[in-house]
Amino acid sequence: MRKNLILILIIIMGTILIGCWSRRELDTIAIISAMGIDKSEEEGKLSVAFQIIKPSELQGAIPSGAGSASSKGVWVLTSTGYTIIDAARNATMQSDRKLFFSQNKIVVIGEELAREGITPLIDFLNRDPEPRRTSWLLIAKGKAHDIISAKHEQVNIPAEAIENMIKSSSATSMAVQVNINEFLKNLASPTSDPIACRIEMIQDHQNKNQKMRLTGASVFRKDKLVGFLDEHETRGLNWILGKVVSGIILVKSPKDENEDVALEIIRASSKIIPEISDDQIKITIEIKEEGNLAEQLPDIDLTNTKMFKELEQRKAQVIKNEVQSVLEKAQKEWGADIFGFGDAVHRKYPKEWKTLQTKWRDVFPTINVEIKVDARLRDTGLSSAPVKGR
Amino acid sequence: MLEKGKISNNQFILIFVISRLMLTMAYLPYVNAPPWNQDLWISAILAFPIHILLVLPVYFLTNRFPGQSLIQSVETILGSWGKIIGALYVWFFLHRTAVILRELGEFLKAIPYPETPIIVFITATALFAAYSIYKGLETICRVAEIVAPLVLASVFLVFIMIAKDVDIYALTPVLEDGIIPVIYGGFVIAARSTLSLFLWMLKPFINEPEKIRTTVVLISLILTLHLTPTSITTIGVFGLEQAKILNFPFFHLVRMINIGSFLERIDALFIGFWVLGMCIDIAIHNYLAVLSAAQLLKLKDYRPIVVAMGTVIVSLSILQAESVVELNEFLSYKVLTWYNLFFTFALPLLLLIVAVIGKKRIDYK
Repeated sequence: MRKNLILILIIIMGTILIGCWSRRELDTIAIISAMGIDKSEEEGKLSVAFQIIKPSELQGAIPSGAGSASSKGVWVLTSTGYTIIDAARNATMQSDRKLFFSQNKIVVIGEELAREGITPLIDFLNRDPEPRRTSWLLIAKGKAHDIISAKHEQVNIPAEAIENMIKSSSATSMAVQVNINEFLKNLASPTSDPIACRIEMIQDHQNKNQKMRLTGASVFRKDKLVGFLDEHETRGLNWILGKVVSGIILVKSPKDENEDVALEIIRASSKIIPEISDDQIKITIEIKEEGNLAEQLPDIDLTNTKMFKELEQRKAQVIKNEVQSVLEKAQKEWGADIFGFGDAVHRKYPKEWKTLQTKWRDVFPTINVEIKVDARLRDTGLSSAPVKGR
Repeated sequence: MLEKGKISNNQFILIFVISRLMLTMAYLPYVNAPPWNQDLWISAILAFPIHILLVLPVYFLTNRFPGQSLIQSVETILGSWGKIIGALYVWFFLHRTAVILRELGEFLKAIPYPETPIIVFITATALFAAYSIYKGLETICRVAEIVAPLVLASVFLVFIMIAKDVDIYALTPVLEDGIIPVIYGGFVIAARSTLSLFLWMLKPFINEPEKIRTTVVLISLILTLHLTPTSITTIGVFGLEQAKILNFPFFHLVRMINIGSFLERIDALFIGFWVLGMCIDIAIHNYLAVLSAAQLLKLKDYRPIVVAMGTVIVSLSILQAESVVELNEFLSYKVLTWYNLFFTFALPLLLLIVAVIGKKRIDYK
């Protein structure tokens, strides 16, 4: 009996205690909430900024309370190295704790570095067990360091603010939501080119503060950044990808060309239909949109069917223009297939694809793209006619 | 009789499913095998009939030699020459246990415990396995009966929770390269299974051997029901190219789960369930190695050799490969498929032919 007890004890201890081997207590790790990667001034080196959470500063503070934002909840540590993990390990020379990546939410890469290709940077995020593939990937217009060290008035941890900005961008559909997994998926795919979020510091004129702002999307060709899309072009991209969730479309009032009417997007969907005839590829993008009348400035009654039809047509034209602008840039200027046209052709014409695949980069800019927009207006909101003064 | 215990058919189903699924789930080796494209899920479905086909020789053999396990019936067929074949099978079980132990260690070393030496996991698990073998087959199977439903249900839960992130278009076009590579892929998946040897070794202890046909079909069905969604979700979430280069696709899948920003980071939970399943997996494989060795040497009791075998298995699992790359080379479909097939299908088929020609059989009573 005693022999058995000892045996059981050994087994229990053996199986439970090995869990303590690679243990890392909370007070021995520096939790990173965001990291920004830039080119260093030294040749060939990277400069990585880590946004490290200061748990003591967060104590007692309401996580997203407005008043507590004056004390900064993070510490920005900059370190250099030849690779990311090299820089991370070098950072321990300045930090009293080892860096811990599992809670990392944001990865920002500087524009200059991104133009040289970001595959070498992504490998660490894909190989190390700590970083998660659900972190958001952003490209900073300018330096990534500025983004990492920027404050946010609403929250103590700026990384949380960036994450929420990305998540709530579906209210305008003027930014893209791309995490590491999504980026890698498109990068590895033989047909399509990846996109990433775009962020920059903008000047606030009133109190000369700089603020972070999502300003569209960044476009890659293979792993090299080729350019940025502005906010309307980004929505054009989202129209094609069928990722428009909500947003406001401004059209000119049919009665007064100087006045705007705001139309809210309620739902939207898209279809990419490829067609091959006589070795010529034609792609039809069918966009369906439904919306409401959200706001109108002019003192004109727009709530009759004729005007409604007119508004619908104008809305369709706006959508078409947005789509056209992004097509122009990505297809003609950069030759980057960020729309998944290659996938669509592959799906519909698997046999032809075998020969197309190798020369897709040459074929892609020559494709004829037709845009069909079916925009509907359904509702007028709570008032049928605008408020009138007498 | 070495083993006096009896197990029910359901226990046999659970113990085999658990021991087959756990490793496949974690490593998903068949992503890097034919058909090499998005038709993997069709292969997973096709594996269902192929799997049953591969069991047929052993099924007929066990009908011919009821009440006899692998080692015993080989000796009945070939006489003293049977000892050599028997020894081969003892090696097979021994080696397989070592491989599974090593893979458990590699997984734990790669993700939660990067700084722990691999021998710690291997010895700890081998100790657990040795203890459970002392307790006998019935105990292992009863533990499996508790653990398996939990593990299988949690795997299904993962499928449901990740469903919203699956891009179903990643699975098209269907049958791009024709049906042949897809069938080959199904064959590769089915060949990884060692059901026939489990059946051969454990059928004498199953309490309703006449229902074994239903049992085999049920096993294949449960496996298909898990492997098909696994292929669909992995390719749907990561895309084909990424799924190929990820070392532990299913684990990454669990990490991707994020429901309403509050149900996330449940990967630690998954590792817990996985290790539970793996312990059963290792215990039953180790048990088969010990039992077959004891039958080969005609021992009265297998307990004296448990520790000795355990030591051999632990050393073998360390020594068999210098690194994870070397291990993966053996586990790739090019080697393992044929290695497995030799033991699970080819050799039994040969023995069946010899038995039929030699008119060897054991009649009931």
